[in-house]
Amino acid sequence: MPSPGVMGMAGMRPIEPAEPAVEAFFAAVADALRPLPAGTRAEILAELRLHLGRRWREEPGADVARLLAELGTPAEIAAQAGLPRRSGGLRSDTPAIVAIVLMALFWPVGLIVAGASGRCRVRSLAWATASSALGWVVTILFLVLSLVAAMHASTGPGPHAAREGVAVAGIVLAGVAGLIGGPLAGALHLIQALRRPAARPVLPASALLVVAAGGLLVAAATLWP
Amino acid sequence: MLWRMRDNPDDAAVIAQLRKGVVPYCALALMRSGPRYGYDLARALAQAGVVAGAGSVYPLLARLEDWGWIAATWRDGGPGGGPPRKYYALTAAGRAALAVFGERWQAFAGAVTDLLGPDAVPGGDGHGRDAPD
Repeated sequence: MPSPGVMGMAGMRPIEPAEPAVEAFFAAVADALRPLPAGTRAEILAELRLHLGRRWREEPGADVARLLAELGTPAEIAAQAGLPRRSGGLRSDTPAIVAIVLMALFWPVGLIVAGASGRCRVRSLAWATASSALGWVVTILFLVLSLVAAMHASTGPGPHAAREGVAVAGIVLAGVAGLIGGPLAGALHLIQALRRPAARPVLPASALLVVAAGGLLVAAATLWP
Repeated sequence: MLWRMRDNPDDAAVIAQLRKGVVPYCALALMRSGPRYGYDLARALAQAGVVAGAGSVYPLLARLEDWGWIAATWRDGGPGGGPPRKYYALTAAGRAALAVFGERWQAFAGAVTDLLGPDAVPGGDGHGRDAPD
């Protein structure tokens, strides 16, 4: 039988006391469990609600605060989920963050150190590697295009100068975006993954690569005879 | 974990570490003779006093399920309708993990108790002396 999920239970009569303290409690628990995958978090919250509802039915008229206290605090619940206590989180990750920042310039070294720290998941490292490698591929294309642009250079002002100006700008943009942006996007993604392990990886890397692709397209379009 | 506790050796941190390590096996032990409902496991562990609150049991069960030590299914509500309930059972891997823990626990707990000795208990009859400040 599939899990009922939050939507499934919405159609049923209320199963727990409808008090602000209850909603505040579950909001705090949901917040404490934020690093977990959404499905796991939803199931745990569903089970907590069912537990509270059953206790409430077993002891009608019981003090809701006492029933909530039986569940423990959101921090205690998060502790059994295997999550580190908030206060220690970022401080203890400092070595990993230093390694990740190194990635911006020396990304293979940074990736190795970040991976060895044991605090980055393999999937995050894979995304960061792909972003950095793609960035350097873009840079190599930039080098190739700049050679092509050099061969097409005209010797004086004229109708081609403006086109070449735009082409050069596009090539520089692509080169900078690739060389720095690829590894930097990978580094930003790893930092984001440290704080929110369940977050989707897409945004920072793709934004910079779109910029790089745009620069390449501009350069290619203006250079094409 | 321990280096963080160096700065913060309060009761809550100490007991939290103990629970994190040992309570999963307590949960497994409750399922040894057959599958149990999550609610029953939560109540039993809370009443045994090994968890901070009954709510802690649910993320613990999620972890055990992640590790492949238990398997869970949702079942219809009890007799007379009612909300659905989650039903947990040991897997072969869970049974093996529990067996290993069971072998180790007696010896380990005994060794720790011996090491701590009567001096460790406040008001005990040991004659230990503190290190000079």
